[in-house]
Order: sequence, then C-alpha cells, then structure tokens
Amino acid sequence: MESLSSFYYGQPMSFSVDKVAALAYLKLSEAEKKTFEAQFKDILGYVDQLQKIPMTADEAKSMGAFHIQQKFYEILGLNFASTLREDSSDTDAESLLFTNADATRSAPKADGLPGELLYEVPSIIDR
Amino acid sequence: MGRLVELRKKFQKKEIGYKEYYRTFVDRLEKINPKINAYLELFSSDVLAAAEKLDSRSSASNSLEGLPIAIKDVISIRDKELNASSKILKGYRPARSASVVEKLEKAGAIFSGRTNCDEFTMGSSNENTSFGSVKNPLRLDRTAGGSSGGSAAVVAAELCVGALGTDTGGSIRLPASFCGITGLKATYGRVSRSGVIAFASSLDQVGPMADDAEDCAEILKVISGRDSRDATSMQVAVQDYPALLEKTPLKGLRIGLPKEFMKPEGLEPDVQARVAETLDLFKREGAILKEVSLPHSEYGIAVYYLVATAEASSNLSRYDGIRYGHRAKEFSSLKDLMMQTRSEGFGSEVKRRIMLGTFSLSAGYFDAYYSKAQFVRSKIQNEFLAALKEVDVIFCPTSPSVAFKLGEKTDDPLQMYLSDIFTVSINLAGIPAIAFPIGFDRSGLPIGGQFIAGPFEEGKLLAATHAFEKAARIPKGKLEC
Repeated sequence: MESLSSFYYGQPMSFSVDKVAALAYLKLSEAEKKTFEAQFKDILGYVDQLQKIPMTADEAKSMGAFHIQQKFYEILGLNFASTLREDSSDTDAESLLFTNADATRSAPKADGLPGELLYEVPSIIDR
Repeated sequence: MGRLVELRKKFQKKEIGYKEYYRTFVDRLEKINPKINAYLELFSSDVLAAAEKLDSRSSASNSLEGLPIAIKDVISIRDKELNASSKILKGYRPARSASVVEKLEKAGAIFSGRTNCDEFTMGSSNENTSFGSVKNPLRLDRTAGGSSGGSAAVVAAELCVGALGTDTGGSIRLPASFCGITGLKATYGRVSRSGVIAFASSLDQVGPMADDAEDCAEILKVISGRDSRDATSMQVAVQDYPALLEKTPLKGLRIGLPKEFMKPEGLEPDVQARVAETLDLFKREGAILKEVSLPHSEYGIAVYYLVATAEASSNLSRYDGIRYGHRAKEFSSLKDLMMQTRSEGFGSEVKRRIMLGTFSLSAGYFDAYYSKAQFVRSKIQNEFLAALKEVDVIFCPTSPSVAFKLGEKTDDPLQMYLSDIFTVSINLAGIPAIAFPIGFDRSGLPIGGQFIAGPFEEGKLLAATHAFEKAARIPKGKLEC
C-alpha cells in the first residue's frame, strides 16, 4: 500500500500568502504579508515534523473530525444512534425557534420594516 | 473551603444580606477592574437589582442562589453584547442565552459581567484582544494567561466567586495556572456548547474556574449534561460532584507520571522544584507513582495547530459583514465587502490561524496536513487511554513556566504556541483535566499542576485535587491590584 508520508515528506512546500489570503477572504497589507510569510515559514517548518509518521491512504480516508468522540461511545457501551434526537417536531429543540422580534434584534435595521422579518443589508447589486 | 461555598453558607445563615454584600461588591468591582482590564462589561445595575429581589425572599434553595459568576465573552447571554473580544462582533447581541448560562440562571447565579479573552479564544496570554490585554492580578506586568485570562483574573482578584471559561487547547488550565486558581476542562461532550462561539468545534469545551476543587464541583454539577441543542453533548449521567469530593483519598491513588512531560530540561527550575515537592507529597500521603509513556504527545502542538486552525477557518467564515457586528463602510462588490470587513475586523492572530487552516484544508495539502494531524490525534488519544488503564489519574505540570511578561512572546507566534505544550494533547484526546496551584516561584508567581483522567471521570479529578489541596495547603497568592 502506498504510504502518503513517503510521497509528501521532503517535498518542498508551496505556500503563497496571496493565494491563501484570497481563499480565506482576507486582504492583507504589504507589511502583514511580509510578517506572515516569515511566521508561516517557521510554523509550517514545525508542523512538518508530522510527515515523519507513516500513514496509508486508507488510514487517511478514515479520519473524520469527530472520530475522537466515537471512542467514548465504545468505552461507555453507548449506542451512538440512541443519543440522537427523535425525528419529531415535539422536542425541546423547538425552543430554538426565534420570534420575529428575537430574530431581528441584532440586525442593523429591522424596526419599521413590514412584519419586522426583514434585515437591512447593504446594497451591492449596482456595484 | 473556596469563596463560593463560603459565601453560600453566609447567605443561607443570613450572616450577610444580598444587598449589603453586593453594594460593597460593585464598589470593589468598579475600583479594581480598571487596573487589570479583566471584565469587558460589568453588569452592576443588574447585580444590584437582583440583590434587591433576593433580600425580599424568605429562603434560598438553589445551589448557586445569589452567587456572582463571571462569563467569558464567547458565551451568549441574551440581550448582552457578545464580542469574542473581537472588533468584528462589535455591537452584536445574541437573541438567546447559551445553554450553560440558562442552567446557571436556573441554579440562581447572578452574572457579574463578561470577561475579556483572546480574540475568538485564540491565544495563550490574553494579549490578542481588541480591548486591551488582561493583567495578572498577582503581578501587573505579567500575562494572566489565555485565552480565558479575564475569567482567571476575576477569580484571582476576588471579583466574583466563580467563572466560566472555555478550553480548546488549554485556555482554562493555562490561565488558572498563571493566576493561582483552579480550572477544569471537562470531557468533550460533558458540557453543552450550544450558544458558545465556536473556535474549533471538535476541541472546545466550557468549564468552571474558581478558588478550589470544591467550588469547581458546584459549578460543574450545574452546567453538565446532555443538551438536545448540541449533538456532541453525550447522554451520560451527571454525577453529584460535590458529594464525591471525599471519595478519592491520595492513599492508594495510582498516579501516572508521563515521562515525556516531566523532563527537567523542559521546565523552569522553580517549576521543576515545585513538581518534585508535589511528587514527594503524593508519596508521603500514600499514593502509588508510576511512570507512563505518551510518545506521540511530542507532536501535540503540531497536530493541534493543524486541526484547530482547520476548524477555525470553517467556523469563522460566517463573519462576513452581512449577519453579525462590524461591516466595512467602503467596498466595491459583495466579495469586496466580505474581504474588507474580515480584514478590518479580525486581529493578526485570528488572520494567521484562519490562513493556516485554509492552507491545511486546501487541495493538494489536505491529506498531508489535516488527515495526517487527525491520524496522529488518534494515536495520542489511544496512548492516553492505554496509560489510564494502568493508573487512576495522570499528573504533570500545566505549563513549563510561570506567567511570562506582557509583550514577551507577541512577536513570535510559534514560541507562544509552545506555551500550551502540556495542555493541548488532552484536548486532542478529548479527556478531562483539572489545573490547580502547587506552589510559587521565588518571586511569588503561582505554579500549576494538572490531573488528567479518563472520559467522564471529572468526579475522580475533583476528588483527587481536593485531597491534594487538603494535604498541601497551598496559600493564596498576594494580589498586586
């Protein structure tokens, strides 16, 4: 089985501050770019130590964000499915539903709009 | 006895009235807080109004009735401003309270204010905040630790009897250690995260911060339990933690010492000395010490800063200027509005972490970084769980150093990240840990140790800490504020 580590380890990293900032919806000043470039070099150099640890492609596929908690269900003998809410509208999750007034409380402008259900957002269509 | 239990007794015995107590309390709050910048907002008028009502009641039956609790500025309180110490959330008021806040309210707690923290909980020193650094109440030129530095500082400065913090990589335990108080990070799934601003969803946990294990037990009992609003909260019975405090004496307790965390060269000399004295005390009290090994914990920081930042880059994508808080005034398109808002609203550390997370999730790097980090995370968890089959609890220092000087590490993020070296692995494993004072350095700054236990063994942690507190009798630090 192909080892992912052997594929990646030792390969030069291609980190472009401009490209990553654009993906993250961030605009950086020239000074920020310069600082971040140096800092990311250090940080990525440090985290690259993980590439020493071999991992197969199958192992990579099995890694989900919440796999850590699955172990607790096993240890405690709990069935994960039994802890899910019943598929019913008659649950206390209903209390999550906001009234119109609740939902519009944090909107920049909501008062006076019909039904108070509308949020005012900036006009961007003509820009 | 901590101040929470002590004050409750005084109220119950009517040795002091609520109005009388809170008048002095508010005066003190308003006098001391500007010196340490720990509260972002004081709820003085709410507190006084609540005290007025309580005095007219005949009896107090709830466990936290009338007790002042501080809330970290990432935990929603209905109608109160919630900023996550970030400019980007300026003006935001949540429509409902977090589940933990509702539970505290039901138990009768009074909220004294919302506390400063690192922006979106990203930091180890409470310097990454849009509202000024928190100062350590024991030494004003030192950091209070982060990210729950405000919560730790208000407990240490006696500006409340308990506080809620959150812990993603050590954010309760590190400030608890730096400020000489006790703080507990619960098992992932023990406490609901509903209504808590997310940094890294697979790591974040809310927990109590207070004078000692007994006070933490009182708060934890109230906030724990399954919540249908948080699918990751688990259906595991909540123990009566205060009732369990006497159940785990140090005599016969099997304490694991991870060799990777106890290397003398990794610790400041005074930390090393206090750790050695603590181990001597454990032995004198009849505990059984055993070396354990957690070989993959050396990768904890690297794993943490990939997993946490990947989740942060996703969680923080919602702050776009449309739905919450700050909105850029100048923009040329919808995309530009979002970019401009985020660039103006987020501080440097948040930008750095969003970018690191975006990179590790990007095409071509996902398996090499994110999947690899998750893979090593599993190994770290397996090692902790295997070690905890051989011992009851694991002990190690909370931090290799005492509270460092404000500004000392702000230019070097990697050095700052390494402050969390003894705490992040526990979050990665999802298991509980408690930080508590074990002594002071020669200049009087507190030093913390931590017990770590298996999933949902918070009762054991609190009891072991309680037993240590009774045996060691560590005095409180001298306040400088």
